[in-house]
Amino acid sequence: MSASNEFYVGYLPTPARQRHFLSVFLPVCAFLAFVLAALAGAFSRPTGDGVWETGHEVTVEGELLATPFPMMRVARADGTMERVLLVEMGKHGADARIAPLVPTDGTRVAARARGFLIARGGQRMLELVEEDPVTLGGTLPARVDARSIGTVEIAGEIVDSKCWLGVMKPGDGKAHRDCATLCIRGGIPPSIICEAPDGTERRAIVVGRDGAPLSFDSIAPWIAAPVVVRGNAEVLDGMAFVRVEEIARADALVRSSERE
Amino acid sequence: MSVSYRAVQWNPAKKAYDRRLAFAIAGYLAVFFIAAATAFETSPLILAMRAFGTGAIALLVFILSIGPLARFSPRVAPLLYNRRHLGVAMFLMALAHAVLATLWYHGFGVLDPVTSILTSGSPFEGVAQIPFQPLGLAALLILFAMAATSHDFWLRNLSPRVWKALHLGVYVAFTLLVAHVALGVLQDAVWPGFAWILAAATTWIVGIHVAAGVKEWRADRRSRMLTADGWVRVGEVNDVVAETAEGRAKAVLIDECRKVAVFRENDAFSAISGVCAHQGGPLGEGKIVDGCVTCPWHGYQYLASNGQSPPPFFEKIPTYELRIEGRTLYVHPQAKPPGTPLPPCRMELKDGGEA
Repeated sequence: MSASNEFYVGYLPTPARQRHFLSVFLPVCAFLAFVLAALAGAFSRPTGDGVWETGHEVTVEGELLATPFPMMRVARADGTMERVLLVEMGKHGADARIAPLVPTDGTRVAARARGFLIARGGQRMLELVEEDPVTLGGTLPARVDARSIGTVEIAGEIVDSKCWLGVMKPGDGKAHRDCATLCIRGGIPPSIICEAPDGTERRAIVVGRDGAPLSFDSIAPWIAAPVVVRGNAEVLDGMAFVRVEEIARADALVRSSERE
Repeated sequence: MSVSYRAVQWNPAKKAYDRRLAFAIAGYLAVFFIAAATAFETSPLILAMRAFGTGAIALLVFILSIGPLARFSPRVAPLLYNRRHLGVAMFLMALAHAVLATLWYHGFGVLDPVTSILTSGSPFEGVAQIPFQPLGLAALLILFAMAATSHDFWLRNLSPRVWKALHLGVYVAFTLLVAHVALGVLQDAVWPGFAWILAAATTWIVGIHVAAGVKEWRADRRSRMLTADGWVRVGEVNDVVAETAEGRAKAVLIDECRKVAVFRENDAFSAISGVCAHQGGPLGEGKIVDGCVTCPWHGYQYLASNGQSPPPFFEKIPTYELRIEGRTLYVHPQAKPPGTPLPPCRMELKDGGEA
């Protein structure tokens, strides 16, 4: 059969010339697909080094705080203090559960909280179990170790703390914007992430000028976009907070993956 | 060709086709996971989302390449035969990507996932800030409509014209997916190669479609409507014989959008519609096999003498009247009703076989 007169019919045997052509063409296509898969996999954006120990329940003990976001003040083994944010499962903050447990008159409350750890770069969060996650009682730790930084200007990206600390991997960038928006809308503490001069990644929780949480509507437009945040910063028990005076669009976003 | 509907009319060619397809998809996913796991700490769910998404687009580029490539070489024709299985497999990969992304990024929150996708937005101006998830959702809905109707039951009940128009939506879906990727994951990509690969794939698809269109346009221009007394000139009989092998056809444009396939069989010519009743395949590129004109796309068959599929099949296409005047072959552009028998137009052979 001449090349011009070869004719394929699916329910009949394949002509020899077409069979020979396909025996070369298809492996070449498969090879190209596998090369593409290797490139797409190897050069994918790294997912970050956060961990989410779902299924491995732990208990943390310390002072329970309800504001600006639910958290525990916990004494480390070396005697220093750390703050462990408390969140619910899914994209929900724990405010509704924790606020009734903490008096507003300043009385300190000791408690134990059960949940699953989420951690990145030495910062920890506890995703509370669904049933009876908090038990009041126990030993109160030392007073707050507060350090004022003063006015700062931070260029970075506003993310939700839960995803960035290890749930989403990566928990920043445009692809993650809607997820971060849902999380912050649901009460997960918003943070600004940035690169420190030494090249390490830093995170600070953003709150309003009065130290209370920002309204969702005021922060929503800035989530997962390159921004510059200006405000007064302080470090409480090792956890950084920024009382926001102003947020503006930045010219360039420094992504966490580029730092990794 | 069928007289009853089955989910899949399996034959050895389709089984071999699907085995290779399954191998390619499994291989793609495996290579992606191994490469990613080797390069950095992995999150299996995120990697699955990426593997299915990139794999679906790669498969879509392959699918869209087959048609134009088959215009240039009949050797690619076997890939056309079972293309709908490629399409359904590609949709399932896209669906897996979409389900994972929707659940993971838009689920478990205070809004339902669909509301979250459709209210995705940004106050910032600029192309880079345009929401990309609704583009992916729109493309997925188009691909779903195509996959769900990717069966001859729908082809027959929707009518070939409506079915074809629906399935041309793949080009809208491809455009939406290119935008989905460019405005989404490429905004966060750390390797510029992804942008180049997407640009190359888009250029390739546009380029081969334009090239195939130009080739078709040139062929049509050569056969363009030279009329005499209301008849359209097919060509000098000797030339038509020289151009067409035994059992093959010359495609003739009889008006702005209709083609007639003039088949040569022994010393006679027969003219039928150039469009297959099944999926609009180019019968002018078909061949007479076992006495029947056979469509190059899916093997649907018609008798050249009456445009009818042989019993028990029931497809019918229009036939056209031919005449030879002097040394010239003409076709009348008025289509006879589908299935109308017409006597073949015979050549008067001189000594040596020359007309």
